[in-house]
Amino acid sequence: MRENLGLAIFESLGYIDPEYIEQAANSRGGERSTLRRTVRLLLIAAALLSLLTAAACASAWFGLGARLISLGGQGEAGAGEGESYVSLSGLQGSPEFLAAGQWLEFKNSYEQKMVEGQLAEGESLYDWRDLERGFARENEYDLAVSRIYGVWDEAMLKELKDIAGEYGLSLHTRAGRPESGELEGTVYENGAYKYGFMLPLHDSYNLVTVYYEPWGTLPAMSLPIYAPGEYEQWEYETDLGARVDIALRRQPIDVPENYEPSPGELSWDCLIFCRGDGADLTLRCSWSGEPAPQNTAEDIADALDFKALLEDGSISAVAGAIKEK
Amino acid sequence: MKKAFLIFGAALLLAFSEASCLEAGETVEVSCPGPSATAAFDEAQVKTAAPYTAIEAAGESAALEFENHEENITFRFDTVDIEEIPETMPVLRMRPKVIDSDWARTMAEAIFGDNTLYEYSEELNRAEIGEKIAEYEDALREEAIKEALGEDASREEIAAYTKAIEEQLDFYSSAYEYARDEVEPVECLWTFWPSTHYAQSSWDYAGRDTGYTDRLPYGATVELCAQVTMDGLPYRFNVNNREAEDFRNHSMYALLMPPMYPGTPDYTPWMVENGVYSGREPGAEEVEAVEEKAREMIEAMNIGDWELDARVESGRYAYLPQEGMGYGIMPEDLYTSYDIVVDCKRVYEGVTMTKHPMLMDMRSTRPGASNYYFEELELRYCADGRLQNLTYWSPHELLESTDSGVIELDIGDIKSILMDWTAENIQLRDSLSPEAELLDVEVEIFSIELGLSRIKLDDTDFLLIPTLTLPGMYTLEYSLSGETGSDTRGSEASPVDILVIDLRDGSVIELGNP
Repeated sequence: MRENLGLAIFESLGYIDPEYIEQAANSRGGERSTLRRTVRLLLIAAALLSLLTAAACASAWFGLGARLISLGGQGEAGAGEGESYVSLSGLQGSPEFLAAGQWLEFKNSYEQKMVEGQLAEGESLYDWRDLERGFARENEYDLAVSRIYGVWDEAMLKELKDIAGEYGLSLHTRAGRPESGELEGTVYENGAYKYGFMLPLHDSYNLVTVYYEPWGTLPAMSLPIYAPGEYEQWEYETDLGARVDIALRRQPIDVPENYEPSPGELSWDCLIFCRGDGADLTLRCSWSGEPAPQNTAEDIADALDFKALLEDGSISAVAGAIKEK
Repeated sequence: MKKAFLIFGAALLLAFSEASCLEAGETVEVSCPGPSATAAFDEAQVKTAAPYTAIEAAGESAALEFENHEENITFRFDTVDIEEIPETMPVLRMRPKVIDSDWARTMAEAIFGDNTLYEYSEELNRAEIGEKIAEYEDALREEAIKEALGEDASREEIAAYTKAIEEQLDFYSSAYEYARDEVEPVECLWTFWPSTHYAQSSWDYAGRDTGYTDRLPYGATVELCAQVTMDGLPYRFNVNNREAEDFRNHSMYALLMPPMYPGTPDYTPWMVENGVYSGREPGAEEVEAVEEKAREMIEAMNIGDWELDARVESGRYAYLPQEGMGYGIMPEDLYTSYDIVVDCKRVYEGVTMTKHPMLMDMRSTRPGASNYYFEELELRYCADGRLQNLTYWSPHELLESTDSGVIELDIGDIKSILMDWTAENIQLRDSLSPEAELLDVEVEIFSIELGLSRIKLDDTDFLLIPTLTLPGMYTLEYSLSGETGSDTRGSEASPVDILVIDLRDGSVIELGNP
């Protein structure tokens, strides 16, 4: 029972790499008593929890820091020289996060390798891709996932399926366009969606894109991010009572040396994260000319009913979730 | 600001109801005679206007010029003619009307006759998609990126540029599988689709879009696009229904669609070769014939009653872009082309709707704001009588009609209102920054129009109410941070609303967006 309690503590922490749990569970010396093992597990859990909490305070653990996928980097906000992406489903250590990172890493490096090969042969860069997907035509499922995940040959298909299997995740099998709306979007069979719309704000409109991803499936969408270490991050409770994490970055512009741009010349990139019971919601918005961008970011957060979106879980809820501010 | 406006609106009420009993400068308390459908007015203490010089009776033309009390705004009237105001006028309750498939088809047949309409398409065939893929692949080569962005481009710039190209490459790569070897035109399906359905960069090669023929989806914007050739000219026919929660708007247009964009070298030669640009000025009989043709077409479109007035309009063009004014060519050295324009005014129950400037703030919640486009029809024909462009905005259905008593009003009353204008009235129109000092304003009023104007009743319906509208233009001079500046709003071709008076109670309403 106590052993199970120790393991239960580990598992309930939720965001710990499964490997830690495995190691703790397997730490069985032949001469160690059950009691000592349980105490040891609890001590490890407490130590890890304190470390995690410290890290959370230092880098907004549940915000961008916990969702940053750095290819070729150390996985922390601001670290790594490679490309960076925002995890649209799951925080660091979760199956969705790890699988997405692995898939992006593979996809990018594989495509680069193939293109370089083509270049070396003097061939067209992307001729290696089977645009008709003959490798997947025999199987409806393979064809569907190949189309959705941008898979162009058998090697990519195998890797995709292996990664999903390793982390116990489903793959999207159907992607469609929203039934209505003024901007482009994509809707998946499990309700996941990406949707762009104009959010009314202060007698004007901001173009925002919202990503909704239920857990348990490898996201097909990716959200690249540049210079993650330059984002200011903070937690915020919206007017409608949703707890969100905001990340805001001033985007560089070309100006002469020693020139201090006016507020109207600045542009900002904002990410807002919200977790629900079984799904993640990510909002991205960019704007320029705002002298108080932190206020704008919070106003954007207040202008959308994140709770309603997470409870409803469908793209049709977006229109009703917009609160004029 | 709003309160100031309401206060001088109340001053107008005072002028109507109390002026005969009061002496200049006397202060009275005034309350509104009843709630306006557009806004609630506060009780306000107002001063009577000073007695005005008697003006010629309605019906006699006379120019008028005067200044406001602060002597920084000058008003000039081109005419003080006011059409005789009847004792009662209709007040109509209206609701924006969806253009459904059947109605769209009726209008298309009225415009294009027996000519066949085809689904508008920017679909590429497989070979063309292959070319697009090759084009984007080439754009991703290192040397191409350097050429596009320069040697000093930052990593972030390169990343963003590359990402945008990769997205297009992915789109066309995914489309290749579904692409047809030959793209044959499809006869118009009379189906509404999401707006993205028709664009080349989002063309639905995989056939996933949901189309609607009967009930349009709530909260959505959907479009029906078709292409057609008539009398040797290509057109695009488009119907757009915006049924989103924030505002509803519906429109139809039939536009000449040359095979190349304006400003490209072949555009004007095409327009000339196809007779759209013509240096021949049409005669009076031709103009009359076009007006009659328009009248028959409008009747067949089933869009209600309209007052029409055809006229000739000339424009100038350069044959080639490098011969245009941007290259130092003077306007008088350009070619002249003649069109026949048919001015259209909507008529309800025998009363003409006043044409107001198109609203820009579609989601405005200001009292008196109408939130979206007024019902409008614009027609333009070539000199030889062939249609060029037709646009039809914001159809409405009539729900209820009642008769309302209207107040008596003359030029003296109007003068009284305008003399009370201050810099705040200019700021209200967003023409003057609150920090700026107004130095001088010159206002020219072109006419005084009696008609019906639309105001918002509630979240779903509008009212057409009897109004007096003063269209015009104004130029203001101001001082800001030690520097002087000037700005002009409106013109004879596109006047702004200087003043709009609700004839039910004499209140002033701010119809136009600033």
